[in-house]
Amino acid sequence: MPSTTDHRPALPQHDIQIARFAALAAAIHVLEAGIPSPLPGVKLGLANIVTLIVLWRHGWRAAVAVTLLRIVLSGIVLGTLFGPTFWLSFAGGCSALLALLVGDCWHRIAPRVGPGPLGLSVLASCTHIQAQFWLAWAWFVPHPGLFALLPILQGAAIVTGFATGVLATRILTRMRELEPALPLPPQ
Amino acid sequence: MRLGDGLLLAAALSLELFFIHRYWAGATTGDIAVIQSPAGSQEVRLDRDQTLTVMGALGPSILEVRDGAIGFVQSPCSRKICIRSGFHSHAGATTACVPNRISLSVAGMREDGFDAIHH
Amino acid sequence: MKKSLPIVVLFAALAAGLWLNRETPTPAPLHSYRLFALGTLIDIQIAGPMSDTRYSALEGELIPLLNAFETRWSVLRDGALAQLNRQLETAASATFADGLYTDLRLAQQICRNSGGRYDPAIGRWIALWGFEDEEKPREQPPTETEIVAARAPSWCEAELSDQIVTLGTVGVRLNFGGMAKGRAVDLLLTHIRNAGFPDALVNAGGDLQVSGQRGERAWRIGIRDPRAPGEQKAIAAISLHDGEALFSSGDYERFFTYDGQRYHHLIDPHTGQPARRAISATVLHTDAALADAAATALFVAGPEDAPRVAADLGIEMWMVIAPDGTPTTSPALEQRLEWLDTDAAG
Repeated sequence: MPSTTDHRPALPQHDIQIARFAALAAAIHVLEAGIPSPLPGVKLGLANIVTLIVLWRHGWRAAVAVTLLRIVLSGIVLGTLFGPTFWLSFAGGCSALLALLVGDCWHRIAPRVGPGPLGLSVLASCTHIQAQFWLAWAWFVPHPGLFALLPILQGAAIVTGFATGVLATRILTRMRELEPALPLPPQ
Repeated sequence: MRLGDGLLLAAALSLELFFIHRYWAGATTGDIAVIQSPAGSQEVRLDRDQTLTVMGALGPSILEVRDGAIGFVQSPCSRKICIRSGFHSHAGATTACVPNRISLSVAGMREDGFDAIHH
Repeated sequence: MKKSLPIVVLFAALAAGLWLNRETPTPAPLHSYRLFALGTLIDIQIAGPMSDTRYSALEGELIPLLNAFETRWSVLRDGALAQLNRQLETAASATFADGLYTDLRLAQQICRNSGGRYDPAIGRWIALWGFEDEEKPREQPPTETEIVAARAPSWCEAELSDQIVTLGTVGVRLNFGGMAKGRAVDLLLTHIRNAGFPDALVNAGGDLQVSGQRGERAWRIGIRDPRAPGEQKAIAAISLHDGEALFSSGDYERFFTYDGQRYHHLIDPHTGQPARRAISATVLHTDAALADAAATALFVAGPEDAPRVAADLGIEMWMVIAPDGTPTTSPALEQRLEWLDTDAAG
């Protein structure tokens, strides 16, 4: 705990926030990696909630920082850094992030018509799974049998994207109630 | 929920429908055959009867898919071993028209399939 | 106390995630090559991760290796064996190139241990029956006079030093067709293993050898009914362990039919006629070249003599199928085979 006699300059509040969000996201990511999955690549994507919230509340720069930190951090913790699992996660995370940025632009251009956290979440999860699938197909197992998995993967992405989107909206609403200064998320 | 959310959800769902239509229509036990020729390799599903013509080093070989099995029915090679070897359906089965440089192998997608057929 | 709660939760989540992640079995990716050599299709499967550049590089190593091997042992090309045969046309004694000795010696051991049932010195008979050159098949059997004229002294009796071979007469033609495929498979597999890929299967037209395993399980092989080549039914299955080779000799591989009779390429070294005591012989052994030659020897021996010949050759796992279709299987192989319900098999 910082004592009152310490005169060293504190870190900018902004950096601390990003570090906290990244740590939280990494922890969720690691925990989630441990949940047995019915299919490789299918997971809830709870860590993406953090990205969504940061994007919504602090803008795209913060969201990019948190997501990249999360992927590298969890890669280090899980020991998969620069291994195949890491690159799959990296490709999924980066493309989902790109899709989110596009969606965020749309939202900013047309605030009333553009998507809210729910649509963005579905967009991110679908992009995530598609990017992982095509990388896995091109790189590891170019077996045509893999295509039979596509409908399952896409279906799972819609369901999990919707679920995390609902969760993110709820969390944002609750945060808004605690901090009335920030804009209210859409209903 | 806003219009943008609805649009994105609709897009995701239509992609899902497309995948189901494209990759699940006429779901199969999953066996496919890989045909390799001087021109490259191609994959053939064994759940639909069809006739294929593949160009080899000597000329065209004709292959047929019938009742989940695939085999050579016509080939320009002299000894016709590939045709005599009959129709193949077991994962791991391989045959070839050696002079015409066309090979055929059945790839199973079931875990209990064979990696090779000994004969 | 209240402030440290999130940190505790965070670490608990990390610990839980790490614990749940302690083992992650991943399916082994499979890479395959299909090469045409030795008059057949050679199918190579390698389990385990491999980059695209490594894949192409390995292919670039295997093709010349196989090509050099084929040239060395071919009776038609101008390699070491063809040069040896050319000398033997006019002399009873000849010198041979480095690299042949080990296999010439092994062939002699197999010849002796099998009572001459595998004999590479019957090259003239193989040529006479039209099984030497695929492009020049025969349509009817040779006459008894022709067969007697092409008889040669056995390879069992040859005098072999590390550079010179001496046979009883002039005009012996050597043919290692009964062993070359086994040696080639062994050569490819050894090269792949030394290149850093311990899990592989090399399948040369149905005769095969494995190393390691495929991902989490052993390499699994289906065995086809020798009398229903057009039906492709697997009658049995077997899982092969590291280094094991499975080789067969059958009368269905290369043959011609004349006057309702099948004349195949497995010539009995004692009679000069296609052997008639079996329709197929299979050997499982860790030496692919031995398995290949031993399968030929057991085919010639037939089911009655097979147990003794196999024992003399040091072969424990074998199966010989009699002309009426009855299989005789050694107890050691019977334990390993899983017979499949042929009625239900598709």
